[in-house]
Amino acid sequence: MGRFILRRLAQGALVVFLVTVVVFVTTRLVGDPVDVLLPFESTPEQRAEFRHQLGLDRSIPVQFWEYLKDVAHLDFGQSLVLREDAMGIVLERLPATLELVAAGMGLAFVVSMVLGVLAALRPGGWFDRVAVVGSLAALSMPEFWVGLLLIYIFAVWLGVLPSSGKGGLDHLILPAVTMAFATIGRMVMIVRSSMLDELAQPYVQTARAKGLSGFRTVGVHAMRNVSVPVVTLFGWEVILALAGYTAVVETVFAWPGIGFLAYNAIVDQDLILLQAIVFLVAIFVVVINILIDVLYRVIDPRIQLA
Amino acid sequence: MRRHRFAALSVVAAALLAAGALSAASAADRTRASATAAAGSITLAIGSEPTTLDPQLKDDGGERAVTRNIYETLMARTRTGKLVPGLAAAAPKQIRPKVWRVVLRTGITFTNGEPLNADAVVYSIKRIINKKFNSEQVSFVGTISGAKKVNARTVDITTTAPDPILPSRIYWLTIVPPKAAQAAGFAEKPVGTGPYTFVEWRKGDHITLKANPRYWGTPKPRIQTVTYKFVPEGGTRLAGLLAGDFDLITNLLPEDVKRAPKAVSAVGLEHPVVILNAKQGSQVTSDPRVRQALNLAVDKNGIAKALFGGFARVDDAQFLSPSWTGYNPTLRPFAYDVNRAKQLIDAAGASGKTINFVGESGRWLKDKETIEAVASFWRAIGLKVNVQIFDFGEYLNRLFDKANRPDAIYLTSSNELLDADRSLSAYYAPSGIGASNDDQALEKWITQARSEANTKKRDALYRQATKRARDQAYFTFLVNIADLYGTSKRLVWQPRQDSLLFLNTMALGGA
Repeated sequence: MGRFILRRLAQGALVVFLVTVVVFVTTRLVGDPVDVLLPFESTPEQRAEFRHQLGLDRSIPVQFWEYLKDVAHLDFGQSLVLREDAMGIVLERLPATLELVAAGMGLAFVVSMVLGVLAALRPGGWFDRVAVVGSLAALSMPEFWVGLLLIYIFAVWLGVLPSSGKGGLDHLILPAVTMAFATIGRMVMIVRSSMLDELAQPYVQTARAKGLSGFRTVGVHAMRNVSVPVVTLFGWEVILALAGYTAVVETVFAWPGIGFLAYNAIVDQDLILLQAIVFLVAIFVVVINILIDVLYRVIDPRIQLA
Repeated sequence: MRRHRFAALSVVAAALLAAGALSAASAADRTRASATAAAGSITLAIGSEPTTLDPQLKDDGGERAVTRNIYETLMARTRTGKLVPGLAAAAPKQIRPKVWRVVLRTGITFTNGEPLNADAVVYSIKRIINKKFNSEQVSFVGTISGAKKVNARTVDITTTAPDPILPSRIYWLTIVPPKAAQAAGFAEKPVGTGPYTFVEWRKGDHITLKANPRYWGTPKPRIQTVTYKFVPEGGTRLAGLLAGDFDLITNLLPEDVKRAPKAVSAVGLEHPVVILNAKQGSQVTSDPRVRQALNLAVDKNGIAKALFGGFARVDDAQFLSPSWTGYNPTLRPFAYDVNRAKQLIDAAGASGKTINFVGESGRWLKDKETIEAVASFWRAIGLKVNVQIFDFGEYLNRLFDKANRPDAIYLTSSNELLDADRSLSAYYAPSGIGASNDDQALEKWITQARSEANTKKRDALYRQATKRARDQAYFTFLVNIADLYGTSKRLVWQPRQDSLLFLNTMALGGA
C-alpha cells in the first residue's frame, strides 16, 4: 500500500508538470495580456514598455525556463492584474471554495444515497418514479440557471436567504444546493441501479431467507458492494466540482473562491494567476484520485492496488 | 427697459452675495465638521472587484468606482462633462508651449493629516509616470514628462510636446499623499482628500467607505456608510436589487429596466462602430461608394430601439459624444436608405461581393447582437457578409494587426478623456492602433490639433477631420450607448456622462 501510494504520487507529479506545461504554452498562444490590460488607445510604445516591465517580451522557452526555476522555489510569480504573489492570492481564496465544495458535495452524497436506496427498494413504485424523473430533470439543468432560479425563489420572492456573497451559514445554502443539484441527479441514478443489481444477487436472497433484518441486509451487506461504483462516481463529481462547477456557481453567487478567481483570470488573461490556480487544482485532482484508489481497497480488500 | 436692467443688476448682485456667503461657509467648513452630518448606509453592487485601491496603477472600472470617492484630481468635471477646477484653484495655464502652471487651493489636507501642497502634486505626477511603476494609465497621462514645485501651492507640469489636452489628462491624475504612498500596504489602505474615507476591504467580499466629515468641497457627503459588493453576474445583481440587498447596481440590461424598482441612465462613453478597410487595394470596401452604402444600409434607430431598448442615441457620424472636446455639431448621421445603398452598391459593381466582418462576443454590451444586426442589414443590400467572431485575445490581435486589415472590424470605442484626440489618434489617423485608412490629410490634421494651443483652431481641425471621415465613410457609424443603472426606490441619484460613481452626489429619501 505504501509503495502504491508513493508510485501514484510520482505519477501525479508528472501529471501536474504536464498540465503546467500545457497551460503555460496555451495561455501564451491565445493572446497578449498587455492588449487586454492596457486601454485600447495606448500607443505601441506604451504597450512595448509595459510588456517589457512584465517580462513578457522574452521568448516563450526563456519565459518557461524562468518559470520552472521559480516554481521549483515555490514562487509562482506576480499576478499581472492584482500585482501580488499569485499563489498567495489563490491560497487566500481556497478555503471559500473548499467550504462550498464540501457543503455541496456532502449534501449531494447524503441526499443521493438516501434517495437512491429508497428508490431501489420498491422499483416501479411511486417514490422510484418520482426519484428517477426528478434526477433526470436535475442533471439536465445547467448550474447557472439553477442558481438564478434559486436566488429568485428564496431571495427575491420569499426573501428568506441572501441573494449573493459570503457571510454566515445562510449565505452558503443556495450555492451549496446549486452545486449539489446535478450531482444528486447523476448519483441517484447510479446508487439506485447498483442497489437494484445487488438486491437481485443470490447472497441477498440468502440473507433474507435466514431472517436477517431488512436494514442489515441492505444497509451493510448490499451497501458495501454498491459503494465501489458510487465512490468512483462521487470522486469524479468532487473533481468536476473543484475544477469546473465552482467557476459557474461562484460567479453566479459572487462567492469569493478560486472558481470566481479563475473566471476573472481568464477574462483578464492573467496568465500568471491562471497558472497558479491550475497548478493547485491539478494537485487536488491527483490527490483525490489516489484517495479513491485507497478507498476501493478499504471497501473491498480483494481489489489489488497496482 | 430700465426696470429690466435694474432687475438684472439686482439678480447679479444677489448672486454675488450668495456666492460670497457660500465661499465663506465652505471656508468655515474646512476648519470644523460640517453642520449637517451624513447619515444612513447603502450597498452598491459593481460588476468586478477592484484589483487594487492604488488609484494610479490600473485601468480598472471597479477600482475607479471606489477610489474616485477617496482621491481627487486637480481638475474635476461636472455631471455633463464640463471641466472645472478640482484641487486646483483655477484651470491650469499654459505658460510656455510645453509647460502648464497649476495653482492649488489652500487649506486642504489628506485624511491622514498630510497637506495637499505642491510637494504632493509633484510626487503624484512623478510616481505615475515612473516607468518602473508600470502604470496602466500611461495613455491617460500621455505627454506628461515631469513636474516642478514653484512654491508651496504652485506646480509647473512639463510635457514632451505642446499638449492642449493637459487639463483633460489631469482629470485622470489622482493626487496621493507622499508619505502614505511610500508606506507598505498603500494599495490596500487608501488615503485621500475626497468626500469618503476608507474603512475596510474584505477581499472577495466587500469594501466599506464612510463619509469624510471634514471634506473641503461640495457637495458634502450625505450618506454615512457605503458598502461595495462585487457581483459579476447581471442576473444576480438584479435579483439582489429586487431583494433589497442593494441600493444601486451597475450595467443594468436594457431588457431589465422595467423590472428594476428604479432605473437611471446617462449618455455614456461607449460607441459601437465598425472600422471599414478604406486602404487602397482590391478589397470591396476600398470604394467609397461601397462604404457609404454600408452606412445607408443600417437602421441605426432600429438598433438603438431593438437592441438597447432606446437607451442609446444614434451616433452623429463621428463616435464622439456632444459633451466632448472636438465633437462636431455640424455632422448628421447617415440616413437609413436601402434603395440609395443598393444603387451605390450597383454603381460600384459590388453586388454579390463578400465582406469579411471581424468581431468578438461578450466583452461589450450587445456586441454579438449588434454585429449580427449590421451583417443582416448589409446582406439586405445584396452583399455577402462573412461574420467571424473570435475569442477576445485573437480579436485584439486582428484589431491591432496593422499589416492585414479585415474589410470590417467591430469595436466598442470608449473615451475616458472626453477629448477627440484619444479616439481620433487611435482610429482615424492612419498611424493609429486600430485605423484602416491611409488618408494622410487626416494624419496631418490630427497631429496638428494634438499640439494646437488655440482652442478655436483646434476645434476647426477636428471638424475638418471628422467631416472628412464621414464624407469618406471610413466607418459604419452606429450608436452611442447610455449607461444604465438600477437603484432602489429610496436612492436619489443622477448618473454622470463619464461613468464615474460619485457617492457625494447620492442621497437617501426617494419615495
